[in-house]
Amino acid sequence: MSDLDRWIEQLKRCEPLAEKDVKVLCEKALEVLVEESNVQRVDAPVTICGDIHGQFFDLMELFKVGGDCPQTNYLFMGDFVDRGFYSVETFLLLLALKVRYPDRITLIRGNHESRQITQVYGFYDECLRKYGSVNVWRCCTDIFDYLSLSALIDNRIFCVHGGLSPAVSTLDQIRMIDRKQEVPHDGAMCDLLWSDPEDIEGWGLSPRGAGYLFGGDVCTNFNHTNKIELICRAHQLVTEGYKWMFNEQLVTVWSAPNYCYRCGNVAAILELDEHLNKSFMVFEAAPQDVRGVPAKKAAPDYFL
Amino acid sequence: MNRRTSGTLDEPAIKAAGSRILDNNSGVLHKGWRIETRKAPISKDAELDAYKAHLDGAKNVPEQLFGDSFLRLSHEASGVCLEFTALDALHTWRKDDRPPVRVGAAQDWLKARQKDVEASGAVSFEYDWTYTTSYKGTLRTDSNGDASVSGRKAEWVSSSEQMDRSLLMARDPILYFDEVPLYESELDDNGASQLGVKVRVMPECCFVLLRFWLRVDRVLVRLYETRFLADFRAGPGQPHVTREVRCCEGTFESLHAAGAPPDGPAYKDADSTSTALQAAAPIGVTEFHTEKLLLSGSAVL
Repeated sequence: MSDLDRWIEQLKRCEPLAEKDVKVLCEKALEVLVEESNVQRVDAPVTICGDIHGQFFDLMELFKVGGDCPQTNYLFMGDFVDRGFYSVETFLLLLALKVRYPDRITLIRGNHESRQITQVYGFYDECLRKYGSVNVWRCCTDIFDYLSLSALIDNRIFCVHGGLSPAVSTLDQIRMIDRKQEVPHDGAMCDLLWSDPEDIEGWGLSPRGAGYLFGGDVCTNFNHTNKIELICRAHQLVTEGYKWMFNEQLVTVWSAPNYCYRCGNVAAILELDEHLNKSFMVFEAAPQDVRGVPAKKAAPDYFL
Repeated sequence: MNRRTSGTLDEPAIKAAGSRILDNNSGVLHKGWRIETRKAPISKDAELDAYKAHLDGAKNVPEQLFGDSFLRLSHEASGVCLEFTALDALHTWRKDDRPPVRVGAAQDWLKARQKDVEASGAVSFEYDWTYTTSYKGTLRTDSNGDASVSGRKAEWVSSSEQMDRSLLMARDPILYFDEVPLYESELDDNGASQLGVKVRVMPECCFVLLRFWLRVDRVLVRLYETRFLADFRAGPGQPHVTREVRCCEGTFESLHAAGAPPDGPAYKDADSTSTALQAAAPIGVTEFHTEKLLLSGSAVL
């Protein structure tokens, strides 16, 4: 059994890799990822997944529902880390699968695959807690810079974590971005990972003061210009696991059930067969006994 | 999918107090009060759309909205009912209509994008996306079909009486405890906005903490706390409740200048924020007052 197969077995038991193994894995992953396009080509059949957020045992549920990799060809649309308890095991498993089966799994970057965001929302602290140093966090965040920004399935379905950008009207403009950097605060790369669809005409500015919202007409124009029929994205919690918008020109897919271990929501993945026929597979969180997470039963507390 | 979870009951202590557990373990009947919680999954998309319509066409509501969850305290003899729900809190949010906060990166972002923004004709949507609410619970009088109590009015009146903290310090058994999240938003990864309520029922009192907590990364923090103490020593005839409101807020810069810890892990959740702002002298307090529940309009029971 190769090191890689051994690591995959180990990670599937939710056991983190030794620091030295993480380094080797990241070196190998870099060689694979650096070759990928900003708009990575993917062939159907493929199963598309949204945010995972370190919910390792729910990722195992996802594989139960969708089939194992490499038997099933997977596309993950980012946000592997932060918020859940097992960002380390989750990301390393997906990365190990990528290195082992580069043509059977595609990983694109989410806004959480960033140094700044992971320092606030959990991955940094988790690395520090599990390894006693930030070396593993450094290795992983360096790899984040190499993740592709989007994918194109059979030239007809465009997949991206967040959404569109006013600085981008053609896929070629995305191909020209120099992605090998921390997610910037502005520009096309930032928008692709951060923007949201909204029921408006044209473009909107987020009330937060940073970030774009895009309307149905923007989506129609983009799809028409690029001869695609559907934009598939993640980034926002949708309580039924998936949500259509703009006359089925865009769909949001969410793959973290019982989000943050307390929302009680279902999750979904989108299966495309070789003819791009779509079927959504809806699934629930892993049962408590396999999850290994302390029950959220409120402990009586003399709060003041 | 049934993900309703109940609070924590101390059965022997409830029996010893001569009180009763409610059906489905949803709370207790104790000293003339019915104290009940419900924790349900977040509301689905269709329900969220209905809520938006109900909130005068609000553009957005928090993505994690526990619309079916509640804490309810009903005083059986008087029909006074004190309830905590997400929807009522959001009605208050709409009424408050606070000026929008800008995220830390806003200025740089807009400067860098000025051309794009102009060229794309992007329209700005203004509303209080932080879901800040001054909600302090919902007070009702339920007649329960009993004419003798209809027409009564319950209200909060200002009081100089402080909350009796000795009641809270007593290490009596906790007959019932629960913590109910009402809503939460991740603010699109720009911080966190949370509203939740906790309750503990003791032999001589019931204590409730309603808390709104907001952190906008690298910008500001808000902590609005409302505490309720129902004192059972007066007997089951009259509801004896005091309410204490305490609001703290400030930019990280101003709080740090006033002696609070700098922006960072000290503000990672509501509990640590509360500790951070009270470590030295109270810092950033913008509102502090006590009220008591007054029942008027009919004969004393």
